[in-house]
Amino acid sequence: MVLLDPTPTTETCAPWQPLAGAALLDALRGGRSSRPSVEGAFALRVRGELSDRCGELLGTSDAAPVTLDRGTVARGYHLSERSELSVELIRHVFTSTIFQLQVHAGPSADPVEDAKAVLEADPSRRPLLEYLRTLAPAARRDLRDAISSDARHLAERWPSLNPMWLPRTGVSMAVDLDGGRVRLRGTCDLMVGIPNRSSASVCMVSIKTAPLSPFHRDEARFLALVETARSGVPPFRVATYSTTTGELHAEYVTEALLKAAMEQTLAAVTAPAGVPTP
Amino acid sequence: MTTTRIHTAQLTATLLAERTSITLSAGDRQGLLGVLAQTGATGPDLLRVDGFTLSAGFDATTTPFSWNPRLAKRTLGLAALRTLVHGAAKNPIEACEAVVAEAITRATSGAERSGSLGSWLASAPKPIRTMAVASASSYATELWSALEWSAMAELPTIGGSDDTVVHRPSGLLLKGRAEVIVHGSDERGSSARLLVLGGTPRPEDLLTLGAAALTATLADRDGQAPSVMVGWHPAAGQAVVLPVDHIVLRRAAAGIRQRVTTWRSSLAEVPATVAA
Repeated sequence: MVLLDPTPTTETCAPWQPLAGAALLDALRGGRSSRPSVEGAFALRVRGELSDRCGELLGTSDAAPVTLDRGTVARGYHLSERSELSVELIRHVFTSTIFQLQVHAGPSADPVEDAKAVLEADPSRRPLLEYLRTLAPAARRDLRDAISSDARHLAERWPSLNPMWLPRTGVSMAVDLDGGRVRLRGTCDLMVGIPNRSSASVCMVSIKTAPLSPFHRDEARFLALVETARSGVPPFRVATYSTTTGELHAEYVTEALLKAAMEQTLAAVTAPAGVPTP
Repeated sequence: MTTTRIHTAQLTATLLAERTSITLSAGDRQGLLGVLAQTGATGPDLLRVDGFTLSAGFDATTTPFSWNPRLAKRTLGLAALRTLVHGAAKNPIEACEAVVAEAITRATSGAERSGSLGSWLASAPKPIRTMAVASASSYATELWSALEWSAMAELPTIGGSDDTVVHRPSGLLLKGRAEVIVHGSDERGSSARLLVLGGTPRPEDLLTLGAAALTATLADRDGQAPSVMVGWHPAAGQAVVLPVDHIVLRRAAAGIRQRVTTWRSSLAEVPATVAA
């Protein structure tokens, strides 16, 4: 028996009234003070059903393993092996890094340079920084302005988080299904809340630089599904925040939400491959 | 030799389960070292064999090492976890900040050698240090919340020194690590070892865990083997469990021999000069 509320609740904040500080924190938490109990076998069943149905979809095919991430699942395809560098990706990576730094140390006087220093120290980011150097000066200037704007909005609006809530950033998730023929993967920009084995207690937050769209809601739901399969407990809330508009989509994680995410994920297993979207 | 897969929620019970453990006789030890000696040492240099080189390849060590937040997260995160488990910090962020501050203090007082983690942190710009705390606190939080510490009668060893075995006849330096060592209640000093691994469970985990078990056993003065090796993949929420017996150790030695022999053979095939 899973004691999750079967009714999905979506709260959308109008983009012309961006939330800030305590109001944003309240919207992330939702109005419920109690955390729903979770039956121990629930996540195992979710994982088992996902895996079994992936197996049915792929049959005896010996095709290469399929990788699914949030950006491709929400858009109805699975992940291509090739990746594409883009201005949007650079902006997203810089803004995510600025967000991580702000969560742990508060707003910075020069967030763009701080993020650059962090990315330069990470060998895996070399291709991205090399691509950045190939951009025309005007494009680089526009990009810097956009990232600075994201950083300013984050500094003005994003609340500081109590360390006792165990905020962790850049959390990697990877779940193999059907003996490794399907891999679900993702990175959560921010997880807040003390993990608990018997109740849903964690809020997962994704940071976006674009205005929010239904794709982003589906991306967050996909991450909730992966986290459920990975940790054995569904998150309590999933949220997506746009640094451009200040919009926040936040919703409780319910069985219905996870079911919808599962169906969308399965649909992407046999869909064509596509490149990831930041 | 059987491995099983478990979920994160089963980690503590698996580590605490009563198991028998083996002890190497002198003959067993010589047998295992004999297998390693078949790797064809070619000179006085020792080849490092550990979890990293077994998965990334022996050439990976030729790249000069330099710290970054991702590489520092294990050392900092485990030090922070120790303070958390001993009740000296209230949360992982506070624990990591204290660990970083202490490392910087040691480095600035001249107590750290050049190239050490402390020296790197002391000279790193503030955002890099912040990211090091961010990465380490996420790592510590995952491990802290994965285990039921109150269920352990005795606090485990967290991030102890690596096991080290120098074996000149094979030209090998075996290094073995364990993030958490749970000590058994028997008098023989058996232990259950938890290794934190990246990504999702893979067939290669068997060699990673077996090699760490072999190194721990050969490094132990009494030849006592760990009773079980648990390779936990936090990103996947799963762990691979490998109970250790003589077969596991022999297969680990054979696996190392095969990897090293193949690599050394490939070096021998590379022409020293290219003909015009």
